[in-house]
Amino acid sequence: MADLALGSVKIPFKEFLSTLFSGDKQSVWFTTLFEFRLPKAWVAVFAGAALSVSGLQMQTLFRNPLAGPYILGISSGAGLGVALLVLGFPALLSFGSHYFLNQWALVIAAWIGSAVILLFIMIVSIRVRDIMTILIFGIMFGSAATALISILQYFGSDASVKAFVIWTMGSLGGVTNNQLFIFIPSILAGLLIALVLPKSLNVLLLGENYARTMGLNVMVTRILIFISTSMLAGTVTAFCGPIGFIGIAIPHIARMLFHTANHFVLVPASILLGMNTMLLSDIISQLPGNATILPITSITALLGIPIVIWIIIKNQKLTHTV
Amino acid sequence: MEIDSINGLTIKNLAIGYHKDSETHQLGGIINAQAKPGSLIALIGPNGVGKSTLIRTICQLHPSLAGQVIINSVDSAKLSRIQMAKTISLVSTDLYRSSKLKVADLVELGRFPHGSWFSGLSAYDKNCIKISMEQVNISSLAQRDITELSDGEYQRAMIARALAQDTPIVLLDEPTAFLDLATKFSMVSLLWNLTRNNQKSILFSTHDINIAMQFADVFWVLTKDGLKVGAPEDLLIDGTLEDLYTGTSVFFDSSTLQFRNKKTKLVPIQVIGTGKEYQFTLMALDRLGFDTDCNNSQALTVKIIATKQTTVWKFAHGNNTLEFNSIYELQEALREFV
Repeated sequence: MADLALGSVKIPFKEFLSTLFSGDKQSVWFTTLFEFRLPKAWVAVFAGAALSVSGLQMQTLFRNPLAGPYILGISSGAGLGVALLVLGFPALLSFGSHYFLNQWALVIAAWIGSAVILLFIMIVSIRVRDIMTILIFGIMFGSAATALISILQYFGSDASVKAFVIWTMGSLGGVTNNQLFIFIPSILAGLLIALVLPKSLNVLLLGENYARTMGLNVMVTRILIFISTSMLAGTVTAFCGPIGFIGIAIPHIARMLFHTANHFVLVPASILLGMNTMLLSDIISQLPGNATILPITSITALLGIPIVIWIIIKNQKLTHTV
Repeated sequence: MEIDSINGLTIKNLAIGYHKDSETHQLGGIINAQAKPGSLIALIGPNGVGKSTLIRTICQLHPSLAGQVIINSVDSAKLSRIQMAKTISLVSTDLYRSSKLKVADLVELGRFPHGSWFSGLSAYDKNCIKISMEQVNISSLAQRDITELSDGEYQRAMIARALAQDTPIVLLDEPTAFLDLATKFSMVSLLWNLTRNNQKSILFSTHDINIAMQFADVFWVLTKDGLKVGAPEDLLIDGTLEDLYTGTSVFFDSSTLQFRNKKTKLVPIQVIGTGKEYQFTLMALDRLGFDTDCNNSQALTVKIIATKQTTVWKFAHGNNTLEFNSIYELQEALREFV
């Protein structure tokens, strides 16, 4: 609600309520509310849920408390996917002027980009067990993806570079009502897979060897997590650009709040906490009021980084005692 | 030894090892053995001989190169993942612990193969979890975070999880590693009790051979030549256990019934005395590198005079005699003679 009420255009509170509930199309505020703010709120809600759940799944799969779509370079991978499409094959986009087709192409490019980086990290994590090493690999893969994006930008045509830069500046507000028809189903599909997995994720807490001896089909579980994570992180990045730290921080907040590692609790908890945190971040980003909106990434970073530091310090203690 | 048995675990012509760079590396020889229900089996062998690989091969975490693992007369290769999980449980050396996982939740994971994807816990499941925790004596820790447990407690929680899995066969990879002496004993004693009370076949690998000898019904001794099976005492008689340490200074001391370290340079000394002071003095002198068996030597003598109040150690060499009030004082004076 608050997220709807606040924004760069001031709406009197009374008018806000009446417009929201009457759905009066004649109201001067209708467009602002239903064309801009409501979609943005929806995006915040689903992006928050998506990033949190993908972070939770990665943390369990890699048995790494610091795993997350942003820090492991999955978001950069999604960015690279989009860059390859927009800059590398602009013909594909202008070819069919069909709006939906183009949007789907973008999302699928982002999924593939995420999936490729995720695959790299999975391969590395089979050989390397050390948490920090995998993290460094993630950062390396992410940087490599970013570097490739820069190179692509250098060689891209003016028009396509412009299109891409506009995309990278994308925020929660960059998603229109039409795009929501792609955004929300994609994320719902990813979340649906996640909601089937809690029992398997619980067994994975003990590691893949134990999971196998307890009868879990590790390969199928891995593939499902893989698909779900790529879809969730890829979709969010495709529409909102990279949003950091929500993916790492929210699952930890969920664990702390509920004092459990049980995914039957953690998956729904991460969804709800992720939604609320994103809405909160969005509200904070509008607080300066008037025409200025702070970049959402800065807000999530400032919220998330203290938690990440806390995890690192806690882990330091653990590695010393073991 | 009869190999084709109906019950329990039978290993038939098994070859373990791994493939690397399109080459096959076989560890040790062909393995034949069986584990009867209700027996505690210690898997002994030097590092690198493939104890862990054998355990991982039995529970199908690692592919075998050849041969069969037969469980209750069925080739385990024909069992489904879930059937396997209902037959063999594993407690490995993996030390990673997820935070915020409670002991009770950890034990509950053992019920995984017995439920469907979504089903909650039945009353039977809950009872199973409760009994499993009672058997390893961790019921009081049920609500603790596993990161707060000591190594021994964590190991017990993992065993409770394996018990909750309710399998006739339990494999443990080095359950006594990282534990203090008393906990090592209580761990193996616990395993022994489980074989007696639950009729489980329990196979555990260990380097604590002295402890294993006091509990295990059967030793599986894995060497480069293959697997030798027998009661620990049989393997002492035929020299299998001592052969493990050929080329090292370890030998089996049949007077103390323990494996001990051989001292290379021994100085003869005569000890006169009685009681526990005498025993402990022998122990100390042995540790310092003296040969106390050689009672004919007249060069060095220790005489222990114990009264109700005090004990005095009289040390004589040649014509000199010194008196000490503790073994520590005695050993400091004896150092120059070794």
